[in-house]
Amino acid sequence: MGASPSIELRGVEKEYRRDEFVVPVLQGLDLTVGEGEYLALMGPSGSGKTTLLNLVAGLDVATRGQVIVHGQDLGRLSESEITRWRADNVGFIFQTYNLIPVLTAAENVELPLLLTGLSRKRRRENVATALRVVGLEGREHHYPRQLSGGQEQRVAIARAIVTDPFLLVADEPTGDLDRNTADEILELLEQLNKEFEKTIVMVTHDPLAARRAGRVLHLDKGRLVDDVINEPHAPAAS
Amino acid sequence: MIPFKYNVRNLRVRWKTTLMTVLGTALLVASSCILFGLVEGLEHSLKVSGDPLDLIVLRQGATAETTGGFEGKKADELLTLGGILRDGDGPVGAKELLNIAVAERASGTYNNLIIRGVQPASRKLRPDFKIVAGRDLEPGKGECIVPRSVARLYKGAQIGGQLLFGEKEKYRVVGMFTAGGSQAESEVWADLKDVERNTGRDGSVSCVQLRASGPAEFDQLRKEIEDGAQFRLAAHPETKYFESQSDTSTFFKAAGTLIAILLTFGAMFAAANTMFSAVKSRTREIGTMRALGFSRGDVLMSFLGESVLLSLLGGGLGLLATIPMSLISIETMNSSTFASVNINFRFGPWVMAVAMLMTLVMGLFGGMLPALRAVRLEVISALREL
Ligand SMILES: Nc1ncnc2c1ncn2[C@@H]1O[C@H](COP(=O)(O)OP(=O)(O)OP(=O)(O)O)[C@@H](O)[C@H]1O
Ligand SMILES: [Mg+2]
Repeated sequence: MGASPSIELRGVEKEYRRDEFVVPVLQGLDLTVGEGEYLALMGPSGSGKTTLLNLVAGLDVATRGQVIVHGQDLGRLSESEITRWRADNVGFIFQTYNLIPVLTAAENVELPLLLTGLSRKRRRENVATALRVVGLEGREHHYPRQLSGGQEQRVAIARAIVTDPFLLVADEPTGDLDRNTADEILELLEQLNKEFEKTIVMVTHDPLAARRAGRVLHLDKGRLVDDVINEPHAPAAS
Repeated sequence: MIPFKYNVRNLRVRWKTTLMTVLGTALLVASSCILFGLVEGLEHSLKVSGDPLDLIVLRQGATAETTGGFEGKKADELLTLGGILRDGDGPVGAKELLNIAVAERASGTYNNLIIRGVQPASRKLRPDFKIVAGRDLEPGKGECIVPRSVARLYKGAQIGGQLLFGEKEKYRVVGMFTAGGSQAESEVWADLKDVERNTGRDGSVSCVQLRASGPAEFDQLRKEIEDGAQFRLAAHPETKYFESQSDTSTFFKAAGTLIAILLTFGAMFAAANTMFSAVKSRTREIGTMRALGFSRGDVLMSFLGESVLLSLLGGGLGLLATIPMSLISIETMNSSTFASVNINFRFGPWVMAVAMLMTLVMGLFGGMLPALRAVRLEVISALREL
C-alpha cells in the first residue's frame, strides 16, 4: 500500500430518489486508498460499483459522509469548482471509449488540454507523448471509426493521461474487448500504475483483470464485503 | 472552450439535415430580402424624386399632380415670380400637363401610363436627367421619349416606334431617358404643346414645377403662391409631396415586415428542430465532455454556436440567391393614380443588415432551447445514454 492516503471515504452513503421512494445504493462505506495504489472494484450488477467510482471521480456527490481525494473534501466544492477539479486531477476511461466521432485521435487526446493554458505547441507535444505511451504513434489523424476497439481504448487512455492527472478511473475498460486485446489494455494500465505512478480505480467483472490490480474490493448491495491485497504477480515482480 | 471544428464537422457529418435546414433558411431569407428590397426600391424612387428647393404647384385641395389642374395663365404669371432660380435659359420652372391613358403592352394586356407634357426646364427639375439612347424630343413635332421600363414593356415604345393611346393620341418615340431612379422613370414624356393639342386641354396645366434660388426664397415663394390673391394655389415642397405619395410603400413595408417576422419564426423552428435532434443524438458526447472538465457554459456556447452557424449558412445562401434580383425591376400600380410605377429592387446595406439580423435571431433563439437542454443534462445520466 502506498504511503499517504490518496482517497479517503468516511461513512459514505448514497441514495437515489425515485418519486417518493428513496433507493439506498451505497451504505456505510469507509475506505482508504494509498497514493499510487491500483484498486479493482468487483461485485454483482447493481451493487453500486459505478456509483462509488463516480463519487471518487467527482462526477456525483455523496448523500452523507465525506469523500476526500488528494486532501480535498469533494462535498465542499461548488459545481464549477468540482468541474475544474476533475479537469486537473482525474483521467476517465470508459467501457465504450466515448471518443468524439468527428475528431481525430490527436484531436480527441487534445480535448482536455484545451482547458489548460498551454500553448498550441506544448499541447501538440503532450498529445504526441501521450499517443507514444499508448503505442499509437502514426495514428494521429485517424478518426475513431477508422480504429479497432483496442485502438480506440488506447486513444481514450491517452486522453485520460495527457493532462498528467494523479488519478485514473476506469469503468469496465475491457468490457467490450476480446481476451487478447483486453490483456494488452490491462498491460498498459499496469504500466501507467508502475511506471507513471498513477493511482487507478478500476471497475471490472473480469477476475483476470482484477488479479492485475494490487488490491481488490468486493461490493454487494452497496456494502463493502471483501478487501483483498493481491500477491505481487510474476510479470511485475521479476 | 469546446473547439469550433467540433460543430463544423458535426454539421458536415449530418449533411442531409444540415442541407435541408440551410436551404429552408435560405428560402425564407431570400423571400424577406426580396420584399425589403422592393420596399427600399420604392422608397428610394420617392426619395430621389424630391429636391429640397423644388416646389410642386397644384390647385388648392388637390393631392396629386394628376388631379390638380388649373389655368395656364396663372401658371405663366407664376413663372415670372422673383424667387425662382434662373439660369441662361430663363427661370428653372416648367408647366406640365399630365394625361393618364391606357396603353397596350407588348404582351397584349393593357395598363395605365402617365404621359407628361413637359417644357425644356422640366429636365433640370429631375435628378440626373439623361438621354441614354436616341435623342431628346423636339417640341411640337409629336415626339416623345420613354424610360427603359416602358420601352421594354409596351407596344411601339421602342425608338422609331409609335406609342398609341386610343384613337387620336399618338407619339413617335425618338429617345430613351433615365432620371436617377426618380418617379419620372415610370412616365412617357412628350412636348407640352403636343399633349395640350392631343387632349384638347390647351389653356390648362396639371402642375407647375419650379426651383427656388435659396431657402429664404423658397419660403417666400410658397407664401406668395398660396396667399397671393392672383394665385391661391397650393405649393407643395417636392420632398413632402413624394412622401405623401408613398402610401404604397408604407403598405408594402408593413406587409413585408409582418411576413419577414413570420418567416423568421418558421426558420427558428427549423433550426430548433435540427438542434434538438443534434443534442439528443450527442447526449453521451456532452456527458463525456462535461466529465473531462468542460463547463455548462462551454456546452451552451458550443451548441448555440452551432445553431448560429447553421442559420448564417442559410442566411448567406439566401442573400446570394437574392443578388440576381437587383437586375430586375417590377411594374406595379400607384394606388392613388392607378398609373404604372416602376420599382427597381435595391439590394442595399439596409436589406443586408436586416437579413443578417434575422438569421442571427433565428440561430440564437432557435438554438436556445436545445442548447439549454444540453446544459441541463446531468453528467452521470448523460454518460449512461447509448
Ligand atoms: N441516477 C440514478 N437514479 C436512480 N437509481 C440509480 C441511479 N444510478 C444508479 N442507480 C441505481 O443504483 C444501483 C447501483 O447502480 P450502479 O450503476 O452503481 O451499479 P453497478 O455496480 O455499476 O452495476 P453494473 O455492474 O451493472 O454496472 C442500481 O440499482 C441502479 O439502479
Ligand atoms: Mg456499472
